[in-house]
Amino acid sequence: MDFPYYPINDFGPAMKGMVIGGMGILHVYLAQFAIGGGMLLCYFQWAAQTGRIPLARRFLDSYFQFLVLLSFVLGALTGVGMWFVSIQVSPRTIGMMVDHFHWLWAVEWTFFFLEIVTGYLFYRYGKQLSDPVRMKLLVLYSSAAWFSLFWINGILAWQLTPGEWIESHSIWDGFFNPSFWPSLIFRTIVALTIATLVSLVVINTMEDVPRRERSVLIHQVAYFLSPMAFMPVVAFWYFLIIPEDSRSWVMGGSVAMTMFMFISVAASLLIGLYVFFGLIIKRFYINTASALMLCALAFGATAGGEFVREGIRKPYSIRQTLYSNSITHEEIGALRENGSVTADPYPLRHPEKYPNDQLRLGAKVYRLQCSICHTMDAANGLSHLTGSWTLIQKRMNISMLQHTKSFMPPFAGNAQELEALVQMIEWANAGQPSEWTDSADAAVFTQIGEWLEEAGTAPGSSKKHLKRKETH
Amino acid sequence: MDDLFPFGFPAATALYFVLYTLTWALHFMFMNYVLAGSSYLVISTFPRGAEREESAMSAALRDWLPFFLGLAITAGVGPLLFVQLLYREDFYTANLLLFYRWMLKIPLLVAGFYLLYLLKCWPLEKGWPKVRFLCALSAWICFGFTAYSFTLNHIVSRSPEVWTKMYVSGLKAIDFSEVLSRLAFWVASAFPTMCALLGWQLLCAKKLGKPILNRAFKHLAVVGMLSIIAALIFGGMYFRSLTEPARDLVTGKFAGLYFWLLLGGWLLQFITWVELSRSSNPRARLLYLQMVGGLAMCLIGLAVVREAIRLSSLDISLRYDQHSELALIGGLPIFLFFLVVNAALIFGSVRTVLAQVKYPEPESQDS
Repeated sequence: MDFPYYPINDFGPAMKGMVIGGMGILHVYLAQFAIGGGMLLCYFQWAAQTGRIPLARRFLDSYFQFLVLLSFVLGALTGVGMWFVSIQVSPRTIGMMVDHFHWLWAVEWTFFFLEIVTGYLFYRYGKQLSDPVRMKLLVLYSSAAWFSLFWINGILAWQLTPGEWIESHSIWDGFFNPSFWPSLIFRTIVALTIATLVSLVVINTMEDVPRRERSVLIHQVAYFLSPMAFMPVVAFWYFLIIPEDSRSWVMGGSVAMTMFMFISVAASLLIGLYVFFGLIIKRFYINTASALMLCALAFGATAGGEFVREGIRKPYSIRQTLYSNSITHEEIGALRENGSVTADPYPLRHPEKYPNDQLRLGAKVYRLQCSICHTMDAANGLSHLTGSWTLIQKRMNISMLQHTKSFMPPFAGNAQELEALVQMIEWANAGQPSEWTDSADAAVFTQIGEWLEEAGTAPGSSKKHLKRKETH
Repeated sequence: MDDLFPFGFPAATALYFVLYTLTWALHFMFMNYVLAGSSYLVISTFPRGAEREESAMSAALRDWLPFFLGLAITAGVGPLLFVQLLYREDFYTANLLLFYRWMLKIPLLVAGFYLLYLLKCWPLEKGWPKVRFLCALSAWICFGFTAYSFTLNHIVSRSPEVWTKMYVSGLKAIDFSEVLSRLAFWVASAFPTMCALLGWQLLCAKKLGKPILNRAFKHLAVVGMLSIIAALIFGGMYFRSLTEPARDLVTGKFAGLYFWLLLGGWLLQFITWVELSRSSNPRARLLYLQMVGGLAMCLIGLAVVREAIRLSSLDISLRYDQHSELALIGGLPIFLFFLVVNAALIFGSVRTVLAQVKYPEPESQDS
């Protein structure tokens, strides 16, 4: 077996998922703003050239400036940033994604080019151009932006629901996977929503426009929020399609997932209620502060939704293929046999801080198998998570990790490595004393070996877990 | 490596290499404009007592740098994709070993981007020379650091022998003389590209009716000639610092033709600049020849020479099977289809817009 070892970095107190999540949420919000913004601008160009809305042209130019300064700069760079952060967190995951979808990623790249060139042409020369040319540029710009979503959506959806790709390994089975369409439709609605909410801020920043005329614009724009009515239906469709265990995390199986889901739903609901009753039925005026508040709520909804989307893939980063800690199903058996870090060429960065070799081995095991999602004693820290377990519980629960918590991958090392990891957690919980005795009891290794054997190398599942409880 | 690039490789590896070098050359063209352009702005905005009228070169750079930075970043996605397919572990490991030094360029590029927009704002366009200079200097530092981090990444990715040492001891494991000589060469070689593109831009602006004096072209010609001389000097120094196998590969059968293509490209550009500096009326054909001929020769030459240096220290044949497997995954036809369609749409959009644009442009939206 040729297991690839990479140098693994320590992100300090921040869990790696927090870093990639933070960057991802910002990028998704900005990218969706750009996508929805394009659609909105096409409508306003049409309204301007047909004389339906007198202020449409002014709004359009103000909005586009906003779009360029936010989306062309931050949106584009956080996109590249996502790629680099993904490499930092899991080079194997991004490597597999690139392997299987590189041509589609290359297609997306051609759309990026079309988006940036047409967008910049409009930004720079828009005021000098005839209406048909302005419209052509905006249609090309918004189509390119939406198609960039189309391509990346297929790749991201594949990570959770690879569908028939698991058997066929066909690029199109992977791309048009079961959650492709609900995810694409949902994201399109979200994009339109975010762009419309931002436009409410922009309208309030337009100078020398009387309130009455602003009000007309606001109520015209507000109709672009009406697709939000379809959100619950599309979300329901999505939840019907995702794997059962993933659904169970959201439905109470994981408190964090449920909570983030609730935040996302509640924030979306608040926006929807305000839009329906406030803007459409009562035709209230909305000022800058309220518009910004709605944008913040939309950011909260996006953050919650993205957290859930990433979280429900657990224990995988690519479902049924690659675990979160970058180990495949097939490799677990061999790593249990030979040890997961035996061939790791990278030494520890500060080996002197560990009192003995067993702890040093434990630190390497932690680095390879745990550090992608956990810290030792900060965010999602092992010390906190296992603090109440006895020594024996630690040994047994980690040996049978995928059954202890079914969103965890199976432990992928031998008994010596598992005991080393347990000892390292014990040592950390004891305040990292300068002396620590090796645990070299053969009976302990035998017991751990038996537990590992019993746990098997297959992933856990919430249903199996329930069955185990019943049999016991 | 006994055949001319890319003919000695198996078909899949050759395909990825061709796409990689072409997309990299495109990215490099825009990136050169930003790196050299921001360097030039630092010099041209340096406060010198009494305010002088801004040169056409400086004004054009200030105006266009944000767009070119956007293009450079967008164009960079292509080679970023193909480098992962070609070198995979080598590229990833270099990313990981450089860690925050590598990641830092993202916030710096954001800062650099906004600083370029700030330089276009009206208060800095007409006044506040010290603030203007500080903005230009800060933007240049952001782009300079990005160039430095890419240089480091390239050197680390082709030095597997230092990886484990570097993991523990950081940059101490790296030979910094090579980093500096490579960086100096790449910065110097950015200027000729910037001059070629800028010459083309000034000529287009003049054709559209913008008043550009002939002295602006003469000034550009001087900068162009000096930058080619500097690129040759720093290129020579960098070449001398290379290992024997790298030098052999660069000048041998594998990349020799491209090496001469690079030198020929610079020579062609130099001759064009000389003629332009003597001419009282810049002719479009000269710049056109320089643009499509000299620049294309240089960019393709540089792209292949750069890979030859990397391949002298890595055994790419170990990855041939992997490349063959990757090439069997479908999707190439759809990429080629959209490449052609979107390139045509871009070309058509630019043509349509330019047909309607006349100088003077309306007040800039940045102002």
